[in-house]
Amino acid sequence: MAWERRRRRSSETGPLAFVAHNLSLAVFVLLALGLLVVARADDGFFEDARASLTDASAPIMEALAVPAEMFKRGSEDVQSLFSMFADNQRLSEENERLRAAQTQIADLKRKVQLYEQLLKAPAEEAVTSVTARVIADASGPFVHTVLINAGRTQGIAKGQAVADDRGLLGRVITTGNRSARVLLLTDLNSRVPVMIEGANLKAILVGDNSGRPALEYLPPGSRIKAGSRVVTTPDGGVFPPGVPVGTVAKGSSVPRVQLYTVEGRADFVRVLHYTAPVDVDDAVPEPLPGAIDPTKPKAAPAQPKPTNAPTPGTAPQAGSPAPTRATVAARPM
Amino acid sequence: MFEYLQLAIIWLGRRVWFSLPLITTLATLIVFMAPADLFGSAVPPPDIALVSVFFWAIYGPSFLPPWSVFVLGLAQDVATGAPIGFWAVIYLAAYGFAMSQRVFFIGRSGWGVVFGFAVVAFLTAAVAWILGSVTYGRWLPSGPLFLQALMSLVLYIPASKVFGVMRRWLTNAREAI
Repeated sequence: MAWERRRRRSSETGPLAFVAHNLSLAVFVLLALGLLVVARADDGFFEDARASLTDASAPIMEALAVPAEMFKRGSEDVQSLFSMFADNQRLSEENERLRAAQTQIADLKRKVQLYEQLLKAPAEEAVTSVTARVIADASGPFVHTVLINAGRTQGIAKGQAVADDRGLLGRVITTGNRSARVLLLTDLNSRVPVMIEGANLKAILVGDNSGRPALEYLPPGSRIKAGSRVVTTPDGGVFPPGVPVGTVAKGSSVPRVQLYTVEGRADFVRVLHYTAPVDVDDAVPEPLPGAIDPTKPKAAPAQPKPTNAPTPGTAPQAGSPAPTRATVAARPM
Repeated sequence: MFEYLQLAIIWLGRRVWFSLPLITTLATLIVFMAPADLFGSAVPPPDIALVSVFFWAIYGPSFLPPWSVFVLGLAQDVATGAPIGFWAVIYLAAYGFAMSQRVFFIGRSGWGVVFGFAVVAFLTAAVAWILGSVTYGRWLPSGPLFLQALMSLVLYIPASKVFGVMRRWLTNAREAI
């Protein structure tokens, strides 16, 4: 027994153990570096493995999310006790304003319906949604993500927009069977096409790990007012139009957006499934001025005798059916 | 047959018991991921894995060997959505550095070790910032990393007390076997 103990001690603290420990450290450093390089080159396999691991740990995280949410609610309740009077006053004023706006909204709605009928505007694409619970705040110093308890089984797909009751939160980047990872708007890799209401300007909302993402690719010389509402646009066919994102922030050299959503506050979210309409025009495009019309036969001296058989690529003749516009649905990303 | 099964169970029990530092750190990592908004949205959560890596590198490297640090790094990568291998490299580097300074830290007062952890935490933040910038191909904001190092420093004091108790249990158990 004493001999066994001596042997074990020498294997744990002796010079051989020191060498073995340092050697294994070097091996694992090399292994980690190798993984990092391979993962950057081809992330597909690792993403699948990550999604599977997230799926496996989802029940534990779901179980932990319940007391965490209770704790969060409790702390919010305690905080609200201190501002109860001010909140009450603010809400009463807001109620007054909303009541006044209600009549105006009903009037505008009726007008819009009438104009839509007159213009024969096509009905807006329906946006369906799946409700999910935030089960983990998987953020680090570089990455801002959350995990939700809905995945491929619930119809969640990569690229879908995720919103809470206040506005857009981010988009789905990886999906497992029962869980999905959502990239928040504040993340460094987040890019969302948006529109600034009022100015009708389009831009890209770029996350930079700060609390207020920047507005980039604005048209040169464009002027935007601080406080203007920023909403999503369907450009790119990923985000449904009009999902509120935030307001243009005051006092920054680069235009930034004060988000409606607060990171870490979302309990339940909606994953929006949007299928963007794509117009496909069957008509042959008009030739550019000066360009040779490919549909017209070349004025060659030795022209072959025209036949009655239709030539591929020729314009439809008089009497043939008119060009049709087909509306097809783009596949969600 | 029954004897072999009994031996296997004893062996497994010992392995699990001596992997307590790894298991508790992984469990804390998962608990910190719970959406309780403990630290607010502006402040990143403390890096419990780094606290654990530093403590065990100084006071009991045999209880948290390099493979455990590697597993902790991979777990952090999977949890936070960082590139696979990123945090594993960072933690193994921090572990190696702390191990190389082990002689200096052992026998120091509590505050001396806390100062040592502060140095390691900020150095780790700097290395993570450089490696992150190289990995992502652009300069990343360094603020959140250094803020996280500060948060980890605050956590180190209570966490080292808990790890200290755990180390006593593990040392006694090893002596008893």
